[in-house]
Amino acid sequence: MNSMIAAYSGGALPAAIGICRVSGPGVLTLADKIFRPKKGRSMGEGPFSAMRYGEVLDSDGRALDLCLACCYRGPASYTGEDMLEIFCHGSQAVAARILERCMELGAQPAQAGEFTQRAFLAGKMDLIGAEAVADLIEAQSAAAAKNAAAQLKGGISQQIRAIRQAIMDQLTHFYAVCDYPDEDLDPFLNSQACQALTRCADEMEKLLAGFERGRTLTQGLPVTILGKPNAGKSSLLNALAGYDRAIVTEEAGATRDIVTETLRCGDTVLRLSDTAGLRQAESQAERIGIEKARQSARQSQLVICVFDGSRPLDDQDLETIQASADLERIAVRNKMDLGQAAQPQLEEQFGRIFCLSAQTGEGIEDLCQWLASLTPQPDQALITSARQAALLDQAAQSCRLAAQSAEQGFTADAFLADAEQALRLLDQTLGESVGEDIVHGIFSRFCVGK
Amino acid sequence: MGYLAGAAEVVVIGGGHAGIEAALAAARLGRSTLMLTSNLDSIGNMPCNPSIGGAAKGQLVREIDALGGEMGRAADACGIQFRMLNRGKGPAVHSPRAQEDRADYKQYMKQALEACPNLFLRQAEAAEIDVQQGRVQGVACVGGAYFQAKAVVICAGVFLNSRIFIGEYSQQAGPDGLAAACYLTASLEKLGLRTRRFKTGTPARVDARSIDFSRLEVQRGDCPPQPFSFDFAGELRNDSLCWLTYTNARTHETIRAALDRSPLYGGEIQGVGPRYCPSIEDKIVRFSTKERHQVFIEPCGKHSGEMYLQGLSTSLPEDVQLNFVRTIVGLERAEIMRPGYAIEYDCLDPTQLTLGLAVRNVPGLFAAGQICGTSGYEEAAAQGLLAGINAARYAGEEEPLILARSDGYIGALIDDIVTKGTDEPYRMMTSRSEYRLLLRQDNADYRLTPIGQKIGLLSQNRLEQMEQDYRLAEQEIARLEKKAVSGSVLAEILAQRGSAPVSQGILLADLLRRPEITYACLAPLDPERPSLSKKIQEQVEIQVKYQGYIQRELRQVEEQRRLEERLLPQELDYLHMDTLRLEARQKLDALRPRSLGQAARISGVSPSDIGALMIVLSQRGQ
Repeated sequence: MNSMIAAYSGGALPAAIGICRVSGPGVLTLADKIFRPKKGRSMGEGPFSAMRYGEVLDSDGRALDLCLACCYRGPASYTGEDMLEIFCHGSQAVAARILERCMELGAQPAQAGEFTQRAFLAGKMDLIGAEAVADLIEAQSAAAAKNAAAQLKGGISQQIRAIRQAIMDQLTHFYAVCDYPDEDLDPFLNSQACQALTRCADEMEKLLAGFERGRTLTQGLPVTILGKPNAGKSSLLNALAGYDRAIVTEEAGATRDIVTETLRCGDTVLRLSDTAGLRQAESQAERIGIEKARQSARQSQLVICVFDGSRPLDDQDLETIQASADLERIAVRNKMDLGQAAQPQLEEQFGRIFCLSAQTGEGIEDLCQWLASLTPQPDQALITSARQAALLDQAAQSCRLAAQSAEQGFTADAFLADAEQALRLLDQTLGESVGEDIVHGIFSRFCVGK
Repeated sequence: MGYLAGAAEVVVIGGGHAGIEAALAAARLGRSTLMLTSNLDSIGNMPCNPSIGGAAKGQLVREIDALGGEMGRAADACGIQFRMLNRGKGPAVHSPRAQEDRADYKQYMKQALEACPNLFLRQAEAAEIDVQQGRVQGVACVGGAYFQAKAVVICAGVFLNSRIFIGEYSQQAGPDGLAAACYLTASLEKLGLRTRRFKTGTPARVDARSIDFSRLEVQRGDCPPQPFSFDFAGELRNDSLCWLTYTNARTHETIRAALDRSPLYGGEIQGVGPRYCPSIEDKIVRFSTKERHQVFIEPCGKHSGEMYLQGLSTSLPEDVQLNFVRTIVGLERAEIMRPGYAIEYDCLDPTQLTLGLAVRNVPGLFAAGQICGTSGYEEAAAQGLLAGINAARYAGEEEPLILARSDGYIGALIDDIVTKGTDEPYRMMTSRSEYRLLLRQDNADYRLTPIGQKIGLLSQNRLEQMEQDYRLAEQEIARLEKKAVSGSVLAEILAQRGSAPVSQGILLADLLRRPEITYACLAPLDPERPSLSKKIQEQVEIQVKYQGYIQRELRQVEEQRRLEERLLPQELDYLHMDTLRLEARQKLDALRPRSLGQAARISGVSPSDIGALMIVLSQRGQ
């Protein structure tokens, strides 16, 4: 019934290794035609789920690549179907030709998320699992990968199930009392229900608080660098990134657009934005640049205010302090290699100050270590998908509403309807009840081949 | 063999609560109808508790009445004590229940059947369903009589190969000493139907003269009592008393010491019993830490000296029954008139039925009641009504009537048993409906009377009366939503009821939404209030107070409707849908769900299977 599908499944090329993946009926025949192991039986004969070393063959029998490949026999495979994975050398040309050859041998190009959709339809994973796969693929750091792995194992599912059970307990009690009016059961009391449901709502909100942190894991923590012109913002960015990315000149006001760099400090992924220096703008372009800088700061979770530590603060520095006043921020006193000026205002305004030289690299290590410590510890699974978060948020609200109505004296038949709504939403989070939109929504998030 | 004894469009096998509704519905819909029963004196018998209604069951009776059935009217006419259960827990779980006079009830039902045009009664035990050319042709009975039929409704209750157990004693017999039906199971199995063995039980009845009522807690009927029937007029009898007492440590010891003599624990009984209606020995074993259990003592009728011991269902030997009953306060000198017993019987796996209660692979055959794996008079009657309607419609070559889960508890009941099946006798409960705020006992007429009228069971007059009531309620709600009040009278009422004071004017409807405020208590503020019946006042109050919740459930019904309306072609080849798991393929193939909504409720069909099914449907362009 299913067709055979193929797609490139590795990271962006060029890279050291690329992965070409094929799944569906006919894979074993295709495998025999496209890959010839150096030793042992042919691919289609097995052994399966084992790495084989050999040649990828082109249509004329010439070797395209000498590499590893692995054949899987359904249902013991990711999609539950027969599968082939070729771990080729990561050149664009090689990978493209291998895929082309797969198509010649009868494979169809895979739709976005189709491998995982097949896995899901084969009952290989629940929806949370499917989403976690997307995150695992997108994971930029080890911590994010660990979180994705924990979710796959059902870390989040377990926590949500525990909350679900607590709500269920309330419903069960109520129904028992209603359906067995002749039994002397403990009465169902609004006050107890209110307490229990409030606890559940609190628990869900705690999980949601993890969402922001979870998103930081997968997408990087948004950080903006602010400072007057020539305080060394771009140099700092470059020092953190390790190479010249932004334009660094002696001329003040060189950065007009925002330069964003994704970089890693330990397990923390940072989305670092370098901005135009804050001062009275001299041109329209610069004015726009400065406005963008302020906006970027407001949207960030952390602002690094850079000051020239070798000179006393001036009006433009005060501008920087003011622009970041209500935001989460730290101060960097740069250019320490040029001497240290007294800057008492910084001690008053900032809880945390780093002294360094972006030029020489001195002190950069301390800043890096501190930034690395911002990573939420992946000892607990975190919510990372916006879909999960939205459902959980609604569930928490329903639960809260139920608790409030219980407190106000509504009858349980009514306020528990909200608790049941919370339950349904939790089930959707767990992927245990499925609407058409959910299934389609999730899989449209995937890139081809994942 | 046999002789042609007659012909009817619809033949109903059985004269219990399912059979009565089925026969009356078919006959009232204009089909010539024949009821076969093995004993004409036991029509409408209540072999277990002498009451109708109860939690969730009361809603069923109201729905039966609203759709054009008989049970509600009979229960009103023969009731001797009426109560609304779960008052104080909210209108969604209010459930009416009435103690009944068993003798009156049987007489009422037999007369109702005899008075019904198109309907004939015949005492005969059905032995074989005659199926030829792929459809039902008639019913052969043990005495040789053969009745031709277009449609047959089996309402055989617990009589198929039934066996009763009292301690070490057991005998092939039906309830209340009636004969078991020993042929029909084989006929059903010959038609390829799967049967199974279920079990249920009943407590002893004791002589009222041997009870010391002075030591018991009395329980009276409601004042005023509420009838079941929406068009009841007249007076209800409501003066009978029930009594409450408790088991104690000695009772439990006596039972525990005799467990080795119980057929349940000795392994003689193979059938599966209901968890929710356990025998007293079960309760004591399973809830061993509980120090006492309630026992309600209920009269079996106005002119009967027998008292029913609700809560003491048992299959222990007679001497043990007598001993443990006599350990209970007020029953120290009790004399047992009928011992309790367990009964084991054959029934059908209900997943072989459609949502219209037709047997899927035997055109013309329908089933209803305990034979479908349910328990309870009300569950039986609800199915009987629907099966009778659909047998009549089948005979008239009309589409079956199918009630959605959102139409009523009847819809949920049938959907549950035919979609999910049941591993124990199925009882209706409020928790089984996801729409309890919509499916209240007070608005069963609003939900079902239009359907009853449309199919021809109810008069135009009854429909118009219902519509008039709800129109008045709607007008009154609109008025409350417009009229603002303020001033010292309001302040006084609010203070009296512990409700937050208001600084400016407030709409009457907004006041009524406060949990502590009732429609009645607002009367002094509202001199323009029209004079409305109690029923309409109740509607106004519920609809205003629970408006938000009701609207939310309506939206859920709407969302679910999309799945319910995605009908699945009956010829779908599930077995070859490779994207579905094997278990799902087999379940879908066996159950042939009517819609995607029903498919999603089948146990063993996972959300991912439904996802795959959606994809298959979309590929087929459906």
